Amino acid sequence: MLLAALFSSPIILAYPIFLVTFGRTSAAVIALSSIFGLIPIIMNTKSAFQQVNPVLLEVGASMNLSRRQMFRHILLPAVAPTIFSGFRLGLTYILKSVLGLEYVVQIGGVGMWLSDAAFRFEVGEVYAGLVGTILLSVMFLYVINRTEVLVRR
Amino acid sequence: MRQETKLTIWRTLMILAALFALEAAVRYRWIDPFFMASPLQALEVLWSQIWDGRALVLTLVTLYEIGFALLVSTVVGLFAGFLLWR
Repeated sequence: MLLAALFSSPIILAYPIFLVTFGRTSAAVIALSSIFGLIPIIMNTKSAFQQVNPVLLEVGASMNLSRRQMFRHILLPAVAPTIFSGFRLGLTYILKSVLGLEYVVQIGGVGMWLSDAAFRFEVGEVYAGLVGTILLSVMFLYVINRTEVLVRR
Repeated sequence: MRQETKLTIWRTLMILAALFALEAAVRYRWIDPFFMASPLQALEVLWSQIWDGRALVLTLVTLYEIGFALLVSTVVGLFAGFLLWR
């Protein structure tokens, strides 16, 4: 409940606090962005565990599985899809907040490059930066999808 | 042909068509090139900036920030979500 309320609030507006705490370094960007990505991951993990079908657990118990086997062969495949959709959501929020923060406070990175190019009216560079950002997000999504395949096997 | 392959081909064709339309729009000045760069120009600039070294460093910085933030939120988030469920 509290998390859902936090999820819909614009945490990015708290960036001055992080800038004061961590200074104008990458650490501020990382701290703020990880809070952003944290909320959907927590919410999805919790609901994934809540939604596990009790029949599956009873089947496992009737087959006399150990706790470890139960976790690896029943609980993990059952919770993986929801948890990984949480990762994808979290990645989206992290990407947005990292680039937005870099753009706003001009801390080194693609966001700084974009705002720099926009100030100089170099449209080519702006769109090059956008293409680079899209490539980055595609790469991260690919890694997440591959990991999901590995975990669900 | 399998349904999935067909779908992939259609999707790729649609994206290519949109990019082609954008390229044509900028080339023939239907859109002011001052506000919009053509996809080829964007790729060209990206390519030259990467070999220039500047874009590469900036991309690596962003990559590091995204990766680190994702790692922190994954570890803490999984743990916290599990604890909340217990």
